[in-house]
Formats: sequence, C-alpha cells, structure tokens
Amino acid sequence: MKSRVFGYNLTVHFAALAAAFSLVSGPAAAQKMPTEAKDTMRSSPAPSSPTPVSTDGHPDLTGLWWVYRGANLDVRQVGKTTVNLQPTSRAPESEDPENNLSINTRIYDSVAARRADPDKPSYKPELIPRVERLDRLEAKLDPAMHCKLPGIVRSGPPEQIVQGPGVVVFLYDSPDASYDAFRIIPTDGHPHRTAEESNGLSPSYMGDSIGKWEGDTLVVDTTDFNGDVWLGIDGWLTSTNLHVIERLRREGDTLHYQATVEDPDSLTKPWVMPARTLRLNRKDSRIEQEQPPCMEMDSSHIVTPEHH
Amino acid sequence: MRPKVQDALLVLCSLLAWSIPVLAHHAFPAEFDVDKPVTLTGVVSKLGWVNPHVYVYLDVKDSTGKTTTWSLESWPTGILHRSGVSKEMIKEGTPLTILAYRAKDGTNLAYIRKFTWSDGHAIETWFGGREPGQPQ
Repeated sequence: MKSRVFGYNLTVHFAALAAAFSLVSGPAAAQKMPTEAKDTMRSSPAPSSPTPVSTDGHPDLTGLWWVYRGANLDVRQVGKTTVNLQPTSRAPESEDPENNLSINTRIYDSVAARRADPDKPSYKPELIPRVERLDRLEAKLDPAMHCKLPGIVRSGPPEQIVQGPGVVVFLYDSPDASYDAFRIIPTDGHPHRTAEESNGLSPSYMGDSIGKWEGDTLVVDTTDFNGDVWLGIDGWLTSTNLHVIERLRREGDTLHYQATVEDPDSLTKPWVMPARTLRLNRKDSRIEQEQPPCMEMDSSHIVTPEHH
Repeated sequence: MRPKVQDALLVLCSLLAWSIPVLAHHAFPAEFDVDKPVTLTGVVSKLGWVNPHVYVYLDVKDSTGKTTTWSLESWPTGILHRSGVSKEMIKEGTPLTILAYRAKDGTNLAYIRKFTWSDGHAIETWFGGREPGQPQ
C-alpha cells in the first residue's frame, strides 16, 4: 500500500516532517474547531510518571504508542513445533492496556455484537440499505480490502507521535503491517488548506488536519476526505463532508484518545468513537519500516460473504 | 507432559478460542474451507513477500513426476515475521512441507497453517477457531 499510495519511504516521512517544521510558521488564522466534543478522558488514576513538557510549554506527546508487537501472540512449544496463535478476542482495554490494539475496526468482536451495538454510527434512513449492502459485500467492496488506506478514524490512534513547536506528526503502522501512513498537523493556528493551497491535490483518506491545544488536550480537526473512507468494517460509509475531531491527552506514560465523527450527509447525529487508552511503549524504539508492497489477490477467490 | 496430551490441550485451547477465524484482511471462511486440509511437500519456486498476505508458491511433484505449483497464502508480512517466519526462511529454493486449507473455489490455492522445514522444526501460525471435522 505504502509504495503504491505514497511512492516513498519513511526517509521521506522525516523529510516531510522537516519541511513541516519550516512551513508551519505561516500567518495564524481563525480555526474552525469543535465545541461539542465530549471530554470523557479524565477518569484515569494518577499518572505513574510525570508528563513531559515540550519547549513551547505544551504536553509532549512524542513517543511510540504501539504495544501490539508480539504482545498478543500466544506462543507455545510442542516438540519441534512452535505454535503461534494470533489474538482471537479483543482484550478489554481497562483490564489489560498492554494488549490494547491500536485499531478501531473492532474486528475482534463478532459481527453480531457489532451490529447490535447501540453506539455504532447512526445512518440516515435512506442510506441504511446501502450500508447493509456494503456490509454484506464487505469482502469484495471494502476499500481497505483493496490496498487503500483505512483512513481516519478507522486507523485508530497513531502508533507513533513526533511533536515539535507548532507541529505534530502522527505515524501509522497497522498491526498487521499491511499499510502505513502519516499526517503532518500544524498546531500554530494554521487554518485548513484552501482550494488554492491544495493546488490540485485531491481529497484523501487521511484528510487535511489542523491542531490546537485546549489546555493539556491536543484537539485535531480533520476535513477534506475523499468519500471512500469507511468508519469500520461493517460498511460504515462516509461522504466527502466527513469531519473528524480527535482529542489526545497525555498523562505520564498513558495517552487518552477520543474521536468524534460528524458527517451530516450520512449520519443522523455525530458518532463518538469508543475512547482508547494507550500506554507508552518503552521497549521498542521505532515503528516497523519494511514497507513491502500491497498486492490484493484474494477478491477473485472469495466465494461466500462472511466477513470479520 | 507427553506430546499427545500437549496436542490435545492445544486442540482444546483452539476450540475454546473464537468460533470464526480472524484474518486481518478478509474472513477465512469466505475463501477457504477448514474441512479441506492438505499437506504439501515441495520446493518454494517463488515468494511473494507482499501485503495484505504473503504468498508462498510451492512446486509439488506427484507420484508420476508431474509438478503442480500451489499458491499458499499466509499472514501479512508483519505478523508472519513476528510469528518467527522470516522471508529468508521461506525463500525461493527452500524445501518445505506445508499444512494448509484449500480454497473453496477449487483452485490450487490454500491458506497456510503450519510450515515444516527439512530439519524437522516447524512453525504453526494460526488463529484458533474451528478445527477440521468439528461442527459449525
């Protein structure tokens, strides 16, 4: 995916990061920011270590917030055979944050459980048949099934954050390494890009993000999506008017992540994604960077409609 | 503990796990049949170290000497690597025995459960779920 979509490797990510640091000093302008995002991120106990502060006085979110690597493997040795059982159920976050997968698709819940979830996105009545059809045909129609980025918010919180004065960079490396992505988010008052600034660039799966600090919480506002983003695996479509507000707050080695999704063309009301709590990964120094190509070869062999 | 007991415990653990196998990309039963296991011994003719699934192309000779190339699908690169199977271990020219489950469309495609190398060591990369022969 990464090579087909972006065409460059992580070296370029950091070149882009350097460019971002130099670009975000442009004139500040009024930002359209959410006012109704719920703050349900203040229920955790006292942090185990102090929250680092960046040079500009804001909490420093820099760190690797990915603890998946190997943590979920159930490894046993039987004679000369090493048996690796992959995770088959989603670990409750409150009970074991070390097993908190950094994805939001809830693919480890059953399809029936997700369909019965009262907190799933609420679609306009006229769109429900289409959502149900996409759900039925997910195995063939899901954009993420065809090497496209899952987009925001399906990617969940970033696996790594790099923060500097006036800019935050989110890096993504999916648990299965099937894609990676990045977002460069100005936090210096820069507005969303205008059509002129886009200079012909298309809307994307990751959108255009700007950030601002509300006290100790980083609020990221994202628009300019391409209409091909699903909010989850169950056919949860979106329009080009998708608008995502993410809130991130660090407490010591813990990162609280919450996202609110607005899409007046698709949803009857904003969808508040279940909040996530991530723990700082001090064991690894970086996300994986192999970046093999993505080549989807299953679609022509799928014969029945089951999906996760 | 004797191996048979360990094996039985493994099967039990698998049965206690989820009833629907979970792949990161697509649902296993949409494409593969857990009731059609196949054990193939041959030589890797090509390795597709790609996402969302690694493909091992295995040349398998039958008793008449005819060679059939099987497309054998596995986890994404990251998960397979973390499971202990590097691309070096399954590179072109490597003799392998592979336990896999056949595609429902009847093609020479199967999903890998277990790699066994010529020195006898093996790595099983699986996700629990229903075992062959068990009720739906």
